Amino acid sequence: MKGVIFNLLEDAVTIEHGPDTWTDLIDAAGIDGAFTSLGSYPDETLLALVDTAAAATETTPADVLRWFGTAAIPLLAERYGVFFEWHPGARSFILSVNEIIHPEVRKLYSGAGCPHFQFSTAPDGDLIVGYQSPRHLCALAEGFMLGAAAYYGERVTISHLACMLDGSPLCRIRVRWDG
Amino acid sequence: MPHPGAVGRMIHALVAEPCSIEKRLARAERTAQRERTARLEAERIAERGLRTLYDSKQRLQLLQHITGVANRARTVPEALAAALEAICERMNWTIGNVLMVSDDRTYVAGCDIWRATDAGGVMTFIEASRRARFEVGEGLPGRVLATGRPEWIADLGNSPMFVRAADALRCDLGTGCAFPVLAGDEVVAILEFYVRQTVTEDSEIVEILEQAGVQLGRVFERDRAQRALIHDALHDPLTGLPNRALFNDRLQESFERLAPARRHALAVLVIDLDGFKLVNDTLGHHAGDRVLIRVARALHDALARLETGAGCGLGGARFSSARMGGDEFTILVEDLAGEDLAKRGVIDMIATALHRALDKNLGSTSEFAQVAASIGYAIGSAAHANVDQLLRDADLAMYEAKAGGRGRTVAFTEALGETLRDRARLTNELREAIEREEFELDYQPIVTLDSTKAVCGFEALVRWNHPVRGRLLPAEFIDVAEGSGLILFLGDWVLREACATAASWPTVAGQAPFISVNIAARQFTQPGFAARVRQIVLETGVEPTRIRLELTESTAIVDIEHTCAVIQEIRKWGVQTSLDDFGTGFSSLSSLHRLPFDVLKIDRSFVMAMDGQGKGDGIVRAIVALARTIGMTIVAEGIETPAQAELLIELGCELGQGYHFGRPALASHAMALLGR
Repeated sequence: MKGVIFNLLEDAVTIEHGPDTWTDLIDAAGIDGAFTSLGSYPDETLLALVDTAAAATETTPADVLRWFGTAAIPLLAERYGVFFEWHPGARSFILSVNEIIHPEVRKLYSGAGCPHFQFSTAPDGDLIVGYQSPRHLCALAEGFMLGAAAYYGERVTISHLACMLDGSPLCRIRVRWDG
Repeated sequence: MPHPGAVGRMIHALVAEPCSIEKRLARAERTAQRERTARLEAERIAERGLRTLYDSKQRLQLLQHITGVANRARTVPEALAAALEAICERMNWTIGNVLMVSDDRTYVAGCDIWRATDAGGVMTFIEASRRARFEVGEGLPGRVLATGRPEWIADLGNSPMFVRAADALRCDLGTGCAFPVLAGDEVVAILEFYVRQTVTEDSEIVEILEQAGVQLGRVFERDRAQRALIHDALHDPLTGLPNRALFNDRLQESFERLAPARRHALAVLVIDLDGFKLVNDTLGHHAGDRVLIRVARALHDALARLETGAGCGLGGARFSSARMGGDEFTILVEDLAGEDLAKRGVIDMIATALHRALDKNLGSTSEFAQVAASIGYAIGSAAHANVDQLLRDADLAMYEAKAGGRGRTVAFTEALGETLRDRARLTNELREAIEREEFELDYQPIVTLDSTKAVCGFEALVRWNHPVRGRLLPAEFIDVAEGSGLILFLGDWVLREACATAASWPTVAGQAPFISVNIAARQFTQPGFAARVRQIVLETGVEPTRIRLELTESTAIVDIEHTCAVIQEIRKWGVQTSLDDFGTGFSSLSSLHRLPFDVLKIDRSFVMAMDGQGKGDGIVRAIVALARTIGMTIVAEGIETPAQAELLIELGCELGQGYHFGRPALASHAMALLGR
């Protein structure tokens, strides 16, 4: 997992719960906790943080990831504004992930294992997102999409039509724009 | 600036100041914040560097890849497809499409080379693009064709220039760009790319695409060079017509395609220009080239008219013309319905149309008006085992046409073939006869036209003792000997034989009889003819004054300068020359005085026309007077009656020859006449 994710998590936690909470979280998770955006760290480190946070807040790791994804979007927009500027809305932004955002990620972090999303449009206009990754971070993806909608001032309802966590070969996530 | 001592005291005071835990904590937090800010800044700088490095590496790799594609590709479409794939892949374009520029460069059209990451989602746009055609300046590709520069449209939906905006919107396409493939300065193809997002123009991407366009242009240049080489190898550079190699290929292909029984649908016309050499010799090679170009164009235009069937009902035929070299052209005719070309006189009609076209084209310029064409043709048949035989027949027909005069058409027929085969057989026999020396000379006496009628010389006449056909007179083989070039050997033998005979004859009553030997045109115009005569005279030991060489008028006037030079050279050693058949050729009185002949022979036709009172006598009288003025001795030929002899004596003719005085006879008989 790339260091930038840990940096974003740190920022999100710090903004919402203060700087001490982050240090407490690191201590509780029993990890080293020094991250630079350009470094790579074991996936387990992120999972340890997420699990610890879930336990502390009495929620599920998926809830934590969803929250994190949502909170990370404005931070990403601050750091990488160029990826957000040219989109009229969240749909266009989400659709650009494979072709614009992930290629950019690979420019910075050679060998980054970015997931590939399959996009299709349901007859009723909903966006159907296919997700497949050995990391099983579909909740994080959900959070990112929720955050994107909020960023562009839109409201969406996201539901999992199928999930790898339930034994499906891939996750199928439906994004419905409200209103 | 504070005094150093003051700074030291300030630091000491700060450090020494007793400090609360809160203050120390606050300080540590500020320090941490600074470190954090510095780290973020460092990360940003590093990221920027990495991104730039990555981008330039990627672009360099892409360009390298395309250069490799351009080097390896065997065909233009192969190179374009590979480049399209690489650019879409590495630059993340959703759609790539190739358009080719038309030959006349007025429009650009999709050539069905395209690529899409999500073909289903963009089918409408692909369908509107892969065969689309844009005039210069129309739409994105038309604009690139007009400017020769890459074009970028960031917002396809709101670009008035983009004619496929509706299709682009339907497929959620946001941005498009196109760049030219340049062969030199010329736009030869255009590659266009589309992506779903809205992307502002990126000068680096544009630059890379521009370079890719130049690399791909090399494939076009190579392709053109190759085509040009092939074209040059198969076409005549002067007229642009197919050359012999291409013509033979086409003929071979048509020949093989048709079953032997259907080969009558195939014909070959061989066209040889008449009077072309004269244009070349008198007006120069540039004029000759102009004639060839005009002929080629006239043939081409005439055949195009025939092919469309304009006014002659030949619409079902296909023509292919070629320049075989020199002033020889060929035309391949194939009836597409497989009809027999011999029927309906189709080929004669074509030949007539060609004669007319050439006449119209060349006749319009007075300097080329004497140029015409001799056309020979042959129609395919089951008897032709291969194309060479068909071509040979057409060639033979052409020679026959040429032999008959200018502007004629001759079809190859079995009868013609038979005649020509006879001629070929005779040529072979003649060759063997020369080797075996199957010839002998007869000598016809020439007498003084006075009361004595004394024999003063002979004309040597060649005879062929044919092993099967018996003794043949020159009329039966001289044409073939001249046509085949064997006359050179035969003439040489005759001259040597005559010289040897003359050398063996004794002087009778102080008179040394002379022998007249006929010299063929080819023999006379041969370089070194005079030297050859001298050699034979020396070798045979004959007294040179006993030898007279007879040239016909037509031989003498081909090149008057040369004739004069040779005659004068020969005369230096004492050999005399005689102008034979005077009056039957061009009768160029004007050139007569320039030719230093010793003797003039009046043709037998004039002698036969004499009747003692009419025009015939007048002509002979005029010739005699003319010859006397110039100082030539006169010999009248074909004297058959005493009356003719008397008349000629009356007119002042000095020597005579004819049956009246003696028939040609072998040397032994002839010698007996001497001193009689």
